[in-house]
Amino acid sequence: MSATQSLQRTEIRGRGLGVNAGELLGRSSVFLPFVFVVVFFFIPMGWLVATSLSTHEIGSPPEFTGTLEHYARFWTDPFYLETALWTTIKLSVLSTVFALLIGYVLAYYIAELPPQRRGLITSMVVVSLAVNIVIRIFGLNVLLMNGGLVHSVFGLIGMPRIRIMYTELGVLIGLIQIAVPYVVLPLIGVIAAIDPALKEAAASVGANRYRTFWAVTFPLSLPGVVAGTLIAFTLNAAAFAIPALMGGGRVRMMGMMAYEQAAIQGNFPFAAAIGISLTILSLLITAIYLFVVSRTFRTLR
Amino acid sequence: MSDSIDIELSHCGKRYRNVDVLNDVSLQIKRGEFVTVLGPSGCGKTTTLRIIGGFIIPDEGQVTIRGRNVTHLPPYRRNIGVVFQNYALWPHMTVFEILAFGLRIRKLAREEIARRVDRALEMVRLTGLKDRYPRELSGGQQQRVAMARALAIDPEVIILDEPLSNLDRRLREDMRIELKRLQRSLGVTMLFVTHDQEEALSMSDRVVVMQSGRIQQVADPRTVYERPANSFVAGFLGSANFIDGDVLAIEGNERGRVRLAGGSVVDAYAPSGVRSGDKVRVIVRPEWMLLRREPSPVAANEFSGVVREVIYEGAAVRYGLSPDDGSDTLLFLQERSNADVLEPGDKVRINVSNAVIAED
Ligand SMILES: Nc1ncnc2c1ncn2[C@@H]1O[C@H](COP(=O)(O)OP(=O)(O)OP(=O)(O)O)[C@@H](O)[C@H]1O
Ligand SMILES: [Mg+2]
Repeated sequence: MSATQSLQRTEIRGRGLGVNAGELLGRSSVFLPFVFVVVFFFIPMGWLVATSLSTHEIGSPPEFTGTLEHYARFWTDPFYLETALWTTIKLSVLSTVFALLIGYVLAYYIAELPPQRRGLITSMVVVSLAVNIVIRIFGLNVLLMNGGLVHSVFGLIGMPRIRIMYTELGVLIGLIQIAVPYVVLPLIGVIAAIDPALKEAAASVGANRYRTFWAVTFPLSLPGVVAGTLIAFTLNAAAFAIPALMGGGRVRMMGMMAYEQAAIQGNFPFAAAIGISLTILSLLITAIYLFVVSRTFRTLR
Repeated sequence: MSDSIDIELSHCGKRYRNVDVLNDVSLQIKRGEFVTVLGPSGCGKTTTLRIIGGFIIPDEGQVTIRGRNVTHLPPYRRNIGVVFQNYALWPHMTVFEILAFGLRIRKLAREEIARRVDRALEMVRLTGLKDRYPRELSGGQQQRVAMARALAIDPEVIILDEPLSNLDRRLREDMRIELKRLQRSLGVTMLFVTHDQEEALSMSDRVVVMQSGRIQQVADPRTVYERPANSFVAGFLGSANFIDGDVLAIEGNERGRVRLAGGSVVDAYAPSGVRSGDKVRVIVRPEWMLLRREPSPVAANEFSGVVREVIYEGAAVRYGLSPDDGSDTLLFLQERSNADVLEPGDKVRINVSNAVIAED
């Protein structure tokens, strides 16, 4: 009975408006995000691709000619390949791996806390994300600079006072520091949501804590691992502020290089080509990563 | 051999923030016994089971499994099969992997593992589903896998926490029979937690009735039902009328005569310890009475009353009776045989055929 009623109602509405109102609403709920994505993502992206395929003439705006010269320049010049490309891959992958190691231990510890304290510490992680990246980098500077805390402690305990700031190591530490909260946050949720009975069941058939972790907890936390590492990796591959502020001009990553080309050299097409190359590179590494993970573990399928 | 004790709890206690959750719990379970722990929600059933499983360390007392003191041993060194209420099947493993996991830890050969997995699956009548994931199984099948996982490791005892409570009624009744069959044929010792009294009575060799962290009675199903130790046990298992009275006399063989509050005198089972002159409560279950229509001569163990309420239930009829002596309304249950269904207002004689003096 209620089915016929609602049928009648739709009919009336349909006649009144010429279109079924529900259908319109349904369409617009897909339509609006679609417009948003087109306006704010595809159009700028398309513009960037077009720019990267334009010729560069000092003093005049880029002119679209479909040229591949900027890509050719980037992908053939050993200078760009060795400094920018390799540094970017190395630092973003390494920082993601370390952020995962540190972040997993942290998240595991936090997830095992009683709920109220877990909430408190989780919100501390969120707050650390809210602090502006430049401020966080200055904090790190104070710790890592020559004569800073780490330097002094190293000196006190008789270790060589290695230089950290303005080296690759410094940039790596900066990237890890920025990435850790992004790894921790999704992981806390995923690890805390694992039914404790699943671990107890493993113990009941004879698995000690170590065995239980690798057989149950870790595989079930993989969605969090993947989410966290993907965020960390894409952020760090495109890192700009950290290599700029902590690399002292010596550590060259692609994001920074694109900025230099655009803002200092005024070579927008080449900057765009570096940007697009970086995007494709990230997508490629992400795809390989996801493929390997899903081949190795079934949890994600 | 068959008299050896598999599980022994002695004087176990557990507190959470100074609240006693378990209080002086002592229990012995013999090899091959099927024992259920029965009690209302929050009475400490799961806590008791988890202490045996090693997931909780008792604040005091000792846990012994086959003569070995395991009180402080972690679960993974106890060799106890556990069936969890929500089954706790690892969602990322196939049925085969789930059953093989414990065997791999025991470093058995590949063929031996395959053989034992097959055997465990046969025991629970679940063959041919080895490559399925838990989410691809029905509730009943998941239950069987959980059971098979506990069996596969060849445990010394199996503990089960409300393993049937997530199944629908029909399946639950089938699984009861099957679980009991399995337990009997394997001769494995099982400790089973439930809050379903029917489950406890129909499956167990012995029932442990608990209330607020204490054991109230441990006995075979007939004894806990027909000779409940106290009014809690009587009221928790089935329904019961409680009538205050004075013990007039104790006659040998645990029989006593009690004058009920309204003045009528009935015979009742008197546990040792009840003395003549004690003020007691008498337990009379609704089906422990007979009704006869008035007028008829007053016999022993009889008093008169009026039918107040009639609830027809098909297989039985439930009555509310008001004794003429002014005492509280009694519940009465009549199996539907050939007897008439009485009407409200009918005058009847209430014959108490069985009564038990409560020990509290
Ligand atoms: N970790 C804990 N902290 C504090 N109190 C607890 C904890 N675990 C259990 N309790 C309390 O202990 C009491 C007994 O709990 P238990 O789980 O043993 O009850 P149960 O008999 O299994 O009940 P149910 O039938 O509802 O499963 C409850 O009152 C419960 O609130
Ligand atoms: Mg429980």
